[in-house]
Amino acid sequence: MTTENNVAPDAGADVLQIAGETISSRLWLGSSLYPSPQVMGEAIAAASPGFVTVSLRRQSAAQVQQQVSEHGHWHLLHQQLASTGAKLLPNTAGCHSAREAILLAQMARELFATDWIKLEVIGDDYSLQPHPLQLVEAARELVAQGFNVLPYCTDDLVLCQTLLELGCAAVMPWGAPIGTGKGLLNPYQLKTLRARLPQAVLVVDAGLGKPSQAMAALEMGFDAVLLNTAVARAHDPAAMAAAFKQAVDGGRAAYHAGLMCERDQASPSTPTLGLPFWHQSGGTV
Amino acid sequence: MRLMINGEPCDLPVGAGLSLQQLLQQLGYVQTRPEDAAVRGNFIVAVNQQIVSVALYATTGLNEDDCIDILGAMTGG
Repeated sequence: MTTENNVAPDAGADVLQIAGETISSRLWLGSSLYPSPQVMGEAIAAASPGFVTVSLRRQSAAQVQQQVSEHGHWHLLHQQLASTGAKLLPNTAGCHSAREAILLAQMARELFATDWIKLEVIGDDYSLQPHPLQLVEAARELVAQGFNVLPYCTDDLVLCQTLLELGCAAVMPWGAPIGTGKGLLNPYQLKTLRARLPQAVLVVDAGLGKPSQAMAALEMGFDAVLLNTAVARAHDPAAMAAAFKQAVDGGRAAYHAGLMCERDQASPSTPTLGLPFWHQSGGTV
Repeated sequence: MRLMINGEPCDLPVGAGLSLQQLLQQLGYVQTRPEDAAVRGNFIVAVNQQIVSVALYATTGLNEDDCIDILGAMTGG
């Protein structure tokens, strides 16, 4: 094998399909933390993402009206979804038990009229680490109810295998804790997931801070990345969204092209055959 | 009637027999036609953690100490 990935995917047919649906981009973007709804709309336009994540919360009547007003997040989000072809991906952020997550997913399905759900069940408030046991319990029930479940999970191989066996449409291991921007903290484990789950749709979700980190995930063979803070908190979110888009496209192209295998021994790239003056006795060079 | 609305206790000057639709009108979520708002995906309602569809707002009667959750779309990551 001369390259890291021993498959040679057909780049001409490089379409991301999940649960029978075509996803238009391998960059997925969160809709939160932007300085204004307008900036959020500009970032989504620049990213042209495959999914845009949203959530739902208790709201007063005034808050509901604000969201759907002409300058509200919801109104602008709908405009961008229509123009970019992105799909809505509601999440269950903030849930700490399977029971909470299942109910919130059901409400999200009614509110957003979609079967897609980013399943998030937090097990530790400090690190926001997913709760593996509650996650599996919720995934089992939501799959049975016909959801397209995309669980946010740790990079544990057996957990990912279990979630896929339950019928999850993809698994989304963290690169690093949410909002840290630390990138791919455990590349060895992420590579193991790719190697051991060759047919699965794998998405790095959370912890990405730089376009280069997103590119590394795609180079590794991950099918997509999902991020929010790195774009929303940039000085220029739209420009950062565009940078991530280029990085994701570049990483995917590199994966297709076949990355060279890393070596410990130096090896000259310029041919040595025919080199003049080399090793000639009495030479001065 | 005492209700829990979005996690907050709320005493309403009404007796038994209040419908969910009437409550949503009193709170300002809907005007006269609940389907105008809900069909557009503005909010979703659960009574005692059971989702209530728009078509059932008018016929869903509320009882003392019911818990009403009214959720709207939010940004999310």
